[in-house]
Amino acid sequence: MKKIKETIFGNINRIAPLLAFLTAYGFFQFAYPYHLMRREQMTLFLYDWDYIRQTYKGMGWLARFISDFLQQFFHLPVIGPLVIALALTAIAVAVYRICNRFLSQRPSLIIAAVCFIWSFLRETSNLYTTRYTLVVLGYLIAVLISLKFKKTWSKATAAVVLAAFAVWSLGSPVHKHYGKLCSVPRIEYDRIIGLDDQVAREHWDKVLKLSRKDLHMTEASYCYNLAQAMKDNLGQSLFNHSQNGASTLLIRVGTDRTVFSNTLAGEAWFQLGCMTIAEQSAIISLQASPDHTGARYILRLARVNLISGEFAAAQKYLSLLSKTLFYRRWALSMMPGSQSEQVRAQLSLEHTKLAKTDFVHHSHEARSILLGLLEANPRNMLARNYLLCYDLMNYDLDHFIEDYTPMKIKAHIYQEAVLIWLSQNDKLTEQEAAKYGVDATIANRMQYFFRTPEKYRGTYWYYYLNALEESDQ
Amino acid sequence: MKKLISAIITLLLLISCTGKDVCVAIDGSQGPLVIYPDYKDVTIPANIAPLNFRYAMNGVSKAVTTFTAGSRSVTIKGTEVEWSVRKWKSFLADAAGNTITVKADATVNGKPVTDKWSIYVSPDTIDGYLTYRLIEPSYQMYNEVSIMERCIENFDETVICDYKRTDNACMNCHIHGQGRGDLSMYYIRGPHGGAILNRDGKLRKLTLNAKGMLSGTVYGELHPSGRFGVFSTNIILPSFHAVAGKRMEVYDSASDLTVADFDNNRMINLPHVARADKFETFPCFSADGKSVFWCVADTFPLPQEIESVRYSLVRADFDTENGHIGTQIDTIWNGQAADASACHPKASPDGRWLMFTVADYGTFPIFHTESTLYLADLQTGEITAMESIKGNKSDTYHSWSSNSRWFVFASKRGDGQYGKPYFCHIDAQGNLTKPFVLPQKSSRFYLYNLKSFNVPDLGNASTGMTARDARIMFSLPSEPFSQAE
Repeated sequence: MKKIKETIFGNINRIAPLLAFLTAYGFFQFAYPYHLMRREQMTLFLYDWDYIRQTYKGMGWLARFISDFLQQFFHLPVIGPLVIALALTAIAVAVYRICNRFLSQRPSLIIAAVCFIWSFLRETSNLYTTRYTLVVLGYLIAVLISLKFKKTWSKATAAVVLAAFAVWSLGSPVHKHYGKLCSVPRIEYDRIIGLDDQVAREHWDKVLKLSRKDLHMTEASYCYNLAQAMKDNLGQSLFNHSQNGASTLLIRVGTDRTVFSNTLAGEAWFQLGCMTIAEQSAIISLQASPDHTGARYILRLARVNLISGEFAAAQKYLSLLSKTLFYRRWALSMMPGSQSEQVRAQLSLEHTKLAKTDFVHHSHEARSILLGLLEANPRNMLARNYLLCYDLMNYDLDHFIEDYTPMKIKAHIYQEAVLIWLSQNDKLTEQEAAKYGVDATIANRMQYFFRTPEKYRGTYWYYYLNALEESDQ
Repeated sequence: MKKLISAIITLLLLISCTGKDVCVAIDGSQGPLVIYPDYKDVTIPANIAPLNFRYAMNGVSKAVTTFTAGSRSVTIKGTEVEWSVRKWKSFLADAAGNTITVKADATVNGKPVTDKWSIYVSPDTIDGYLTYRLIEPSYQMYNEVSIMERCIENFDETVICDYKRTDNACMNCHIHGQGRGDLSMYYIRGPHGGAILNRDGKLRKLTLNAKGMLSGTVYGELHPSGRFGVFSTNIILPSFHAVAGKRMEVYDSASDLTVADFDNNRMINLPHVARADKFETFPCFSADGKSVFWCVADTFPLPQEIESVRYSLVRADFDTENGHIGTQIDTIWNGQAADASACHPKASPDGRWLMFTVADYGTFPIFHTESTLYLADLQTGEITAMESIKGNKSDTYHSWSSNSRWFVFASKRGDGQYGKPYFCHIDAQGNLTKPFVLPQKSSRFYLYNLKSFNVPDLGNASTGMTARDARIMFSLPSEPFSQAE
């Protein structure tokens, strides 16, 4: 035991960096997997010398260049954690080496560990970018290099030259934009941005899986509902979890909402076919990305404009994406004039969803927008389900009955809503229920519902009853 | 570090050399060789910056472009035709009043292609400075907005006001009074905001709001004397169109006119230009400052009946002694009769013309593809649509050069999303030439640019205002204005 201890302490300067690396890598890979992927979505790196020349100039050009270059690889799940773990470990090693020049091993190790933890925690902040870690690392390397000189005058000269170079190429070591002095990881928040990421990638099964823990949150519930709708299962699953009004179906885009909310709002509208809101949501999100060039939003703008038939605008965005590493192939395949038959067919299908009758609205007039989409394309089942669920969430049964076409769409909650409406209008007979396609089994269940409502949490009756009870109180 | 940099460079080279380059024309020229920006057969002022362009075609290579004016020729090799400012200036000086012929030879997909076009260099110069706000085409939110001043004789661009020094406040566009560099104004919005007035180079921060007004001032213009400003106060609401390509509609739920007296810190609010049953907006002065033009429409329930809103263009006398707008209001262009809507009137500094934008309806034509610039001859009363310069998307927000021979306007032609400044020559008879976009140092600039050039405004000299001035103004208290008795 003593021998092991001695071996460990004897090799602590080798073991500690390895431990630090594994800890950082493990955390960002497994516990905080979406944090770094989001950074990639907010960045654009173009393989174009002219763009590089124009973009990376002025103070801090090198830090911005390397940061953006590295961040593009965060698109892949392993690279982000790997890069960040290496950078954080390098910070710890650099601090240790600097301290070890003046102090013994133990205090040097403690200071290095503190710096590692501090840098690690800062990395977990949602507003932090890789650049800041690189800046810290860059300055530490500059200090290390200047310490290599033996003579005092050469050390001083090197320090001045390196400091000037560092300020020019890395920017200021301290800046208010570097965010809070310290941060703590928010695992729940990472899951939510993960949901946002998976929704944008249209990985609906992953969305369903990832959202389960957080369905009490509006954003998670919204993503879950969208995923269910995309799997044509919205009506069946809507009340499988507690819903908090229609905001879990459609989110309004507006100046009083957070950027995250405005970003998420565009996702459902994009799938439904309302390209004006989807486009504005993408532009707002683009504005909020650090250099106003988030790849994810440019991709969305390209898709919106391709579907809308605004090919010149689509071309602009596709031209940018065609100069990236990870979106190049997709961009080239979507470029007007170079599209395959399959791509054209897909775009044409999406195009049929667009509203044909114009009216001016604020995005909270969801019902009118959905009706417009259905008027243009009655086969837009996504819009139909959203419309019916929107009516139900707002307890608007009269509109629901207007919008409900039993032959076109079947889900138990719709039939449950029909039964309530029939009951409210003194029409609750077998014949009337049959007219609206209500199954006899569902009609029978209604009788049992009132005895033990708790057993029927997944029904519209339960949701409606709760609302009635709340209004009575 | 060396190894890292060389690895990065190797990777960049590798990737940038693989696959075909995608140089797609967004709004390229006609002819066998497509160039972007389209500088073919344009008329340019003798003091404009180099017209850098690129051959915007797939498979183009080995381009040789020769510019000839008189006995002088300059040849530029490569698909990106970019001049040094010094060389261009010297070439253009010799070409003033003459035509430059441009001959281009290139290989397109292995086949030789030749093209030829001309550029006429007008002896009429243009005001050397252009201000604009750089902003994404978002009308819901803003983030990191800047107001810039560009010297259009070269590529120098300076910041007049930016988010960095104003706590990321919103700011509205800079306007010159009569194209003068020493008379101008812009707004910083938010709690520490105000109207920043530059009068004879002295800066003041003003609260152009007083009791009884709908809001602080919004659109407007400065009087030639510098003493007054005429403005609209608007409650502005952004909204969406249901149909995809129409994008957004911004409308006023209420709007009035007001006059600011900068000498006495008074707002002159007159009931006949602040009627509850009318929308009054976009006021401007005539060149002599004795008249005010503005747009007026009947009110409707909005946004439901937005398509019924038709703004007419009207005029009234302006009393330069007391700042009052006359009660006799003459209609210059009737929106109801024309079944269309006018906005953004601007009088030419020589007093001859009044230019305005016409769209099908409403007060926000920047996404209206039908929007067209109109020209009213104030001597004859004749009004013509400037169809010959109309782009495929909207043309709005124009501004005159102080010699009245050039104007700039924001056009979304091409991508339909990002407004860019286009310049156009107008002669004494009102004849127009093909507009050309603001030249940039990089011929690829517009390919990467993701911001609109909002409200481009020409000035005959630099305003001299800097971002540092903005910071100082931002930190100062704002001068209050009171309602005139």
